[in-house]
Amino acid sequence: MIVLCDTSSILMLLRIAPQMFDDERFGCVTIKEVHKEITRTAKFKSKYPWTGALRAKIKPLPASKTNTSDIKLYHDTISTLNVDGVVDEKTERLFNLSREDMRIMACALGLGYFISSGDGGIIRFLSQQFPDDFKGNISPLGLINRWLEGKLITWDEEKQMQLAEWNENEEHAQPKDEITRFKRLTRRQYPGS
Amino acid sequence: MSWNGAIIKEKAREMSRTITDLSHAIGVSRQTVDSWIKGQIPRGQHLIKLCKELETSPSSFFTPEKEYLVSVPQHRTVRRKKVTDEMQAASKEMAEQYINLFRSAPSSSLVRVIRASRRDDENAKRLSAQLRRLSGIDDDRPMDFEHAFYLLAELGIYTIFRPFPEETSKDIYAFYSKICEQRVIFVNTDTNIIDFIFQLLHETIHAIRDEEPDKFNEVEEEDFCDSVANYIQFPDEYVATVSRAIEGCSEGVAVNKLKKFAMEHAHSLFGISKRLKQFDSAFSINVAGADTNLKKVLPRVRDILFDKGDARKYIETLCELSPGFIDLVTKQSPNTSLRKLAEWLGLDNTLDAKEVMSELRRIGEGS
Repeated sequence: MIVLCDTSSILMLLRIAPQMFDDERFGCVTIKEVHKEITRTAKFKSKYPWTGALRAKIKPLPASKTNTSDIKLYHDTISTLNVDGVVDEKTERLFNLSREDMRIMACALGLGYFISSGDGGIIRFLSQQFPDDFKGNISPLGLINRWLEGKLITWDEEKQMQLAEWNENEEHAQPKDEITRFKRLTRRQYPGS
Repeated sequence: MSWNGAIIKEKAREMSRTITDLSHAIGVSRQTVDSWIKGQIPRGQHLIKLCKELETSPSSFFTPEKEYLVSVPQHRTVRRKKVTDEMQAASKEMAEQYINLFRSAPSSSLVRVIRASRRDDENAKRLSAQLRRLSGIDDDRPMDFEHAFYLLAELGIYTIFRPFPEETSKDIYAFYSKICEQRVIFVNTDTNIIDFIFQLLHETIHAIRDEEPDKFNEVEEEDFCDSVANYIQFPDEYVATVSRAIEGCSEGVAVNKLKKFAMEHAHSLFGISKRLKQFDSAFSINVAGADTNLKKVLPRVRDILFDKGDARKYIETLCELSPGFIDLVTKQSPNTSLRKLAEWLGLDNTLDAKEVMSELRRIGEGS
């Protein structure tokens, strides 16, 4: 199982597992557009001051992998639908997809990867338009749980503190079932909602 | 764009495929393909399969609703460089990012359109005088920021400030586009303020003349828009004042005096020297070096917009400069991701999109 990580997930996970892109067992990849967003946004440097030291750990997929004809066709399809206007069945408003959103979706679909993104719009668009092709979204806490189960990481006080910062930084709420699983795996409280 | 399901039938026929055969290949029922032919838009995953089976692109199944859902008559570059296909495509792609935003814009059926039967000097002056009056400027000063934007708001033109794509960032200061029938001027935030007003006015003239995109490349149309923009920015009376001030001065002194005028009114030396030459054909002072030096001390548009990375100040400035655009973004913001918001606003990386979103919510709630 390979997961294409979006900006918010990387910012939540990288400090907990700096090797997430180095060690294949973690199953995480990202693309250059996400890498660029993280490294070029000055505000991230103050909000997540550790990103400077860990920047080199974010290794985007090479262009040869993300510029295939399949990905291009997915991208053109998503872009055409976006220009035509697709109504979000949840909000009953049009989806407003950004250039980065469309790249993330096209790469995940074209490569057959899961996604880890806090952006509900991306997930709902994929679920609505590509229900068979879209593998699914895995929350950051879901990834941590998988790593714990696979014994890729061990939980300690430092990681627990880093997890507590998700709440302080007003990151997206995590799924209830993953919170329960986290408590069972670590025998600790989940420090957020 | 609108879905045109009949194209499925046409393409299948061209490839000697039956609809039943096509439906099997896609993995849906014949009735499903029939519903697409009748007008139901397939889901993305089926559209992809249709493209693969019929060896075509997704956009080939859609026809434009109007002739130009997005038109980007890219025509003017810095130092009159040739507009390449890459520049054109990058500008169009940028304009397309705003389609959903402008779909929600109020109808623009009552926009001002100005037709000039003759594109001559007399008409250029007449039009410029009308537009200066409309901008609320009541003396002979060169056009400043405040009046230029007031003029745009009066004309129902949306202004969007943002960094331009790599392909155009060094070559284009501003360009006019029509998105969902709305008139939009994109301004490159890397433009120096002394280059900015003339370009904005030039594109404004294109916008209100409402010509078909192919007219934009006509030399006569370009010259006419330049003339009107020049007269709006530098009325004859101002040019006469400058001319009198430098009369009889040595070149060095004249350049210094011109610089002083330029600094005071935030205009380029190149622009005023062009007008001075029109005024007095003997005028031959080379201002290129001084103009470049002036740009080094005056800010770019981004320096004004993103001053100190303060989200509140940024939104307040945008509310003054581009009220129509900010109003649209504010209304759409509850349904917009931070990433899309940053894309629409062309946010500088010093600003936190979350803080900008909070400011928009504050405005939206009227607080």
